[in-house]
Amino acid sequence: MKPGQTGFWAKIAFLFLIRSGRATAALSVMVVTAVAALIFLSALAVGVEDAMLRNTVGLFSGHIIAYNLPDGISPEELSIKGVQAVLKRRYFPGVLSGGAIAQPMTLCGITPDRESTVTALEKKISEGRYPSPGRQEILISRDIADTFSARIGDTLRFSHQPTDSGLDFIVSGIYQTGLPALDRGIAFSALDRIPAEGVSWSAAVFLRDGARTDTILNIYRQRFPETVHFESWEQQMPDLRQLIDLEAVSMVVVIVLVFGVVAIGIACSFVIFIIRNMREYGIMKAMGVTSAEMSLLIVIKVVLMNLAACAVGLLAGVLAVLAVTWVGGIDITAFTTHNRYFSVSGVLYPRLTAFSLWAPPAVSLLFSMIAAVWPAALVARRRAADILRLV
Amino acid sequence: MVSHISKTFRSGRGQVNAVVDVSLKVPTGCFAAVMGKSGSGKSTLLNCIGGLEIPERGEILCFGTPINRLTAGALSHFQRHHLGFVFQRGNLLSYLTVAENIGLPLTLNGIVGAARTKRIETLLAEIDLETAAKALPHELSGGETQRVSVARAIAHHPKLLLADEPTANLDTTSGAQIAQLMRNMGREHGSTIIMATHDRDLIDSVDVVITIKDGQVQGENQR
Repeated sequence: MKPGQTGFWAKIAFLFLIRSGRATAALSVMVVTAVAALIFLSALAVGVEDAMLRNTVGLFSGHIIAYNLPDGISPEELSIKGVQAVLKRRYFPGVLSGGAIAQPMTLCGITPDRESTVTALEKKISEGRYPSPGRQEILISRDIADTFSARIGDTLRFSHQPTDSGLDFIVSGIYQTGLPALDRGIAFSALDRIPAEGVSWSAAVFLRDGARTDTILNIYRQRFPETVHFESWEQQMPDLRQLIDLEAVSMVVVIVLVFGVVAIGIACSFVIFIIRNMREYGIMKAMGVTSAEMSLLIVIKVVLMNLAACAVGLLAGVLAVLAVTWVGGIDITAFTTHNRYFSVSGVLYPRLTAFSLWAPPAVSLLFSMIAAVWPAALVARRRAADILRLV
Repeated sequence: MVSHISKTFRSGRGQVNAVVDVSLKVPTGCFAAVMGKSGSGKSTLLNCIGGLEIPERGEILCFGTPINRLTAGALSHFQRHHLGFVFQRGNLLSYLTVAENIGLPLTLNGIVGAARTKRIETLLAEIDLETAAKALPHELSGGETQRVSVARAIAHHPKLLLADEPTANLDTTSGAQIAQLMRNMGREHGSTIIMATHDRDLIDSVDVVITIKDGQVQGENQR
């Protein structure tokens, strides 16, 4: 076979597929459907990951937490490219007391207006509101409220040091997130109402969509002193990282399994298709077409058909993702009310990534080439006279 | 030249001796007819000569090449360059147009571009189907299909043209036209033609009649 003849066989294969329109379309439907479905599923899996991440970091923590920031560094200095917002906070470990009850507690000083704009914690306030700036108010969790039998308007005292007399705060709101770390040990107050001498501040950094946490972290680590400690959401929540990785692995397994089944379907259909046209392969053999050329022709037919089907499937998958996003996502709130990774919203927005776009077509193409081996071998090993006699 | 070839098949009816110790010689440029009833071994003999079947015994020398001893690749190469086949039902490739069917052996033989186009046009004119160049096989009549089949078989100037019952599905007039077309084109292109047929009306077109019965040559008559 001459190298230049590959183009000739590609043309023959193309004509075969075009002029066997209905049979080609019937064969292609399987690939189109599988590619479209898997692109959508991959995008949905990314959407689930996004939702879990959005819910978890968006509730309070942010994508990156910076600790031990001296007052010489301003929040604006952390607002680099890719950062959506930087929230200034100060943490004061101490004791919260009310009546005869006292409990260790961390009081977090926040800027309420900024917090309500950037985080979703406000949505988890079941009674009352955020502490107002300039007022000696405190936002406590439902657990703490129950411990102290506290209601809105009650007064609780917070002592930062065992020796100080403490500050009185009026309960302005009660929240409940479902996250033990927040619900059991943190109360919130306006940053300007807590004495901050000698206390370093912390920053909750929220990133824009598509910004990479590790890239931002590297910049921070190069730019700021070693005394400032940065932690990503992955370090803060390794369980969530593992859950997302597990979902990615599951998706790859699903893609491979689906295309394993589709490949068998393609191979069987193509064998039927080839047996139906077997006489034509016999004629070509009689004309001196070699087994290698015959195999090449069949592989090109399968690949061409798959490329076309993948293109259509890709388009259908992308359109399905866009359509679901356009109608406002998929609301699975009814199934996530007790799931801490969906504590804010149960709406999923499928998102297309490079992986979700290339993986299904690539796997389809790979499996289709494997599927082409069987029909190619079937034709290649038969003698022309056997073929012509049998059909 | 065919020398003492035998070919048997195993089927549900046991072993069938399709060709039994057949020897014959067809001179270059000659139009020979292998005549015999259905099942007499005509097609098997033609298939052996064309390398589509490998006989168990004997030797086939095709223009000096022992084709039954060639490797698969060498046999394909030989068939591609030196042989042309006309089958009973025409057997055009259904997804190629008339012109593309005729052009297929040309491309296989490296004849491309303007030379290929010119050759196709010439052949279409010879078979009187210039207007059907873009037609697909299912749009042709039986006679037209066989004319295209002959044109395809002869397109690359093969040394040997093998025709297996090319007129079997045609009426007498069309059959005679096909035989005449093969003769004319064969003569024009200098091809040797061996045609298997059971149609005695075609005898007038041929130079030699080889009669075969039960897989054995019964006689060879020069005409």
